[in-house]
Amino acid sequence: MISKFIPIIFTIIFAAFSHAQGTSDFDSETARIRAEVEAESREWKTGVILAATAAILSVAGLALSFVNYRQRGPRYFPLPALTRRLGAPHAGGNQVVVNLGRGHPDRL
Amino acid sequence: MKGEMMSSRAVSLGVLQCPACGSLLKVDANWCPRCNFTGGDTVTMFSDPPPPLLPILDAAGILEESDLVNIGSARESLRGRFPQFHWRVCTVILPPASSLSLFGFWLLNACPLLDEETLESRASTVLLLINADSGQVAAVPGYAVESYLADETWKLILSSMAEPWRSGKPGEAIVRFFTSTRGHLEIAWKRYGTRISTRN
Repeated sequence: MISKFIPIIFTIIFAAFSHAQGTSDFDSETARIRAEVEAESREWKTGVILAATAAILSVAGLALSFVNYRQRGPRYFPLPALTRRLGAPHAGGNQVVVNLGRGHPDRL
Repeated sequence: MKGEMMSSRAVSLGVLQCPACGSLLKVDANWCPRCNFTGGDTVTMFSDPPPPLLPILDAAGILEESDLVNIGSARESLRGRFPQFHWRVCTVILPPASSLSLFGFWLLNACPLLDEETLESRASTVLLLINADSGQVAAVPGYAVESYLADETWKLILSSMAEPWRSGKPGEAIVRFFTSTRGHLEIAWKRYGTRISTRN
C-alpha cells in the first residue's frame, strides 16, 4: 500500500528541492542585476554632479574674468565742449598752487 | 546738447579763477573783468621762447635717474587706466616774485605742440609744475580735464605730495601726485565716466 505512494512522495520532494534551487538562483541573479543598476546609477549621479559643478565653476570663472577685466580696463570721460577762456588755446588757467615747504637741503 | 551739458558741468564742479588775480571768471570770458588779464599778457611776462613741453622737463635738476624711471612708470600706469589724459611734469626755479600759476598757464598754452600732439590732446593735458626753490607746486589742467576734477580736488592731490617732498624725495612726491590723481579720477569716473572712448 505504502509502496504505491513512494514514487509520488519522491516526485514531490524532488519538485520542492528543484523549486528551492531555482528560487535561490533567481534571487542571486536579481541581486546582481540590482547591484549593477545601483552602481550604474551612482556613477551617473556622480557624473552629473561633477559636470554641473564644472559648468558652474566655468561660468563663475568667466564671470569673474569679465568683472576683473571691466574693473581693470581703461576708463574714459566724455569729451567736453572746449570753450576758450582768456583767449588761451589749451587751458584757461587757475589758482591751484600749494606750498609744500622746503625740501631736504641735500636734494632741494 | 552734449557740449551744453559738459559746459554746465564744468561750472558746477567749481569756480573758474583768473590765473593772474584769482577773481571769478565766466566759462567763456575773453579777459578778466577785474584785472583785465588775458592770455596774450603772458607772452610779454615770459619773453623767453617756450620750450617743448616734454613729458618730464627737469629744468631745476632735482630728479635722479631712478626718479625718472619711477615717475615714468607711474605716469604710464595712469595713462593705461585713463588713456585720454596726458601728463607733463616740469620742475623750475623761478624768481621769488614770479607767479607759478601764470607760468604754468603760459607753458601749457605757449609751448609748441610736439609731433605726436594734437589740439585735443593738449587740451587733455595736465601740467604739474614744481618750483624747486620755493617748494610751491601747481597743477594746470587743460580744458578737457578741468570739467572732471575741481580746483579743490587738485589742491588735495598736490597736498598729498608734501610728506615725500619734505623728506627730500621729489621723485616720490611726483609719483604720489600720479597715484593720488588716479584715486580722484576713479571717483570722478564713477560719476561721469564711460567705458568707451568718445573720440572718433
